[in-house]
Amino acid sequence: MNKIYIDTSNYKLEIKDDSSYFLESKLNNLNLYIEVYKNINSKVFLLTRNSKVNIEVKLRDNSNIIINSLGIDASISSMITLGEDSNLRFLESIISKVDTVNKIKITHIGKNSHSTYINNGVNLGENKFYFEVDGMITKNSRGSFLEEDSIIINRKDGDSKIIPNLIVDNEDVTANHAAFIGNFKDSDIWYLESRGINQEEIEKLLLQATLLKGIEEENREEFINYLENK
Amino acid sequence: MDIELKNLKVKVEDKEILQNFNLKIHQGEIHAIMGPNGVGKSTLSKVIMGYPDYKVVSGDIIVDGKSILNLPINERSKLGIFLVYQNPIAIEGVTMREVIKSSVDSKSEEKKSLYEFVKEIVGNAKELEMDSKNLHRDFNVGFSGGERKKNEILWALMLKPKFIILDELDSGLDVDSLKIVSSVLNKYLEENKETSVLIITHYTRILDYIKPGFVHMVKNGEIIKSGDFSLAKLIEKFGYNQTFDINEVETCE
Repeated sequence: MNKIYIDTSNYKLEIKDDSSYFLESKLNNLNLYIEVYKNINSKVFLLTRNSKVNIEVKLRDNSNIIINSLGIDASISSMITLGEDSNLRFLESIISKVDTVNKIKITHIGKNSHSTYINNGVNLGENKFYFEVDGMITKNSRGSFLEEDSIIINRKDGDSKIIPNLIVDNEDVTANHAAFIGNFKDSDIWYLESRGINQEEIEKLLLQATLLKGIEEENREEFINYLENK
Repeated sequence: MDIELKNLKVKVEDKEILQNFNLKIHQGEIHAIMGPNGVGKSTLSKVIMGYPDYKVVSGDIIVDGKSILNLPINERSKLGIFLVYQNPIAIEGVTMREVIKSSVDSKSEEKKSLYEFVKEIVGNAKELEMDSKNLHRDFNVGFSGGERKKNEILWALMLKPKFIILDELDSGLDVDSLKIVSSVLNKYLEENKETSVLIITHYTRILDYIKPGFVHMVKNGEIIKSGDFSLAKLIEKFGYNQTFDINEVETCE
């Protein structure tokens, strides 16, 4: 794993070998550009805090990337383009107690490209918390697959919204979207309470569950430390 | 632990589920509640545990001489009440080990070191013939019904309860797993003689492995017949409706 602490507001990462990167930034403004070269498999972990982040990802033909991103009080805008036979799995988790608007635009430009975008948000306050999710499959992207799944856990009476758009210009594709805004389930809380766990600890466990689901256990530690240092 | 359910009347969303329910379980006793689906058996477990959507309209729940009606769920757990759920939940994003450690730490005044905790949980997992790698998997995610039940018993062993409610323990467990789980529970009861048990079931299968001294038949939210283990055998032979008409078994009270 290559660990990189980003201290410049414009950062370019060109991935030319099969590799994994751990990127962390505390800058107020960050522009991150990632390009994955042809036939390359890569994994990127990204931690950001108190920042406005713009991410641009370009997947060349037959490349693969898994992105696990955790943002604390961050607004993140991502633009991703997928070339032919490329594959994206993007797990984006954001926890915020300030106004945050997170935008993502995924564009399939090559045929048989595959994208899964899962965003899990936790709105801690009474603030604005938006996910604007755009998925686009262009005319040339026959056989492509696009899946979006968005969740916002609204802990207080926050202004939380999920705004999904699917723009599909080819009939031979699969595209779907799911969205949920709500709070933790009473049944989960009561179950954990029935094992003697106090409210504070239950909150911590369920927050972790919301933000880290889908991330392999061996890669969670950095994320947990980051959350605990909040 | 002594438990007494005294003239308990319970409603869920204005529907009366239990009415004048009376049951005394003394320290170290094993009781079984039997009845067909939908007669209020599982309600009983949630009421004892203190689920807020089950409203106790009248009556009382007394544990070791004190009413627990005003105690929240987690305080009831800290007293030593442990409910083995019929359908335990799954939580993605946190591991079995993390969830059970939180619970053990919440219950004890002094936090166990990670080493002590891991040593104990791995030992208990081994007794239950569980793969200890499961402890690193997300909580109950991708586990079969039987594996989830084993996880529940593992958790019980870690919390060392004084009153265990087994809600349809045998559902989802194959015969071999039921034997393992029952043998581990019997060993625990042998070593902790003050622990009492309430088995909730509609089949007698589990009662062949964890033998109750007292069996109660429930219908329409109340106990209509009580007896010893032979009542369970009558139910097995004749079913619930016919057993009700047989008079040689002692009636409740």
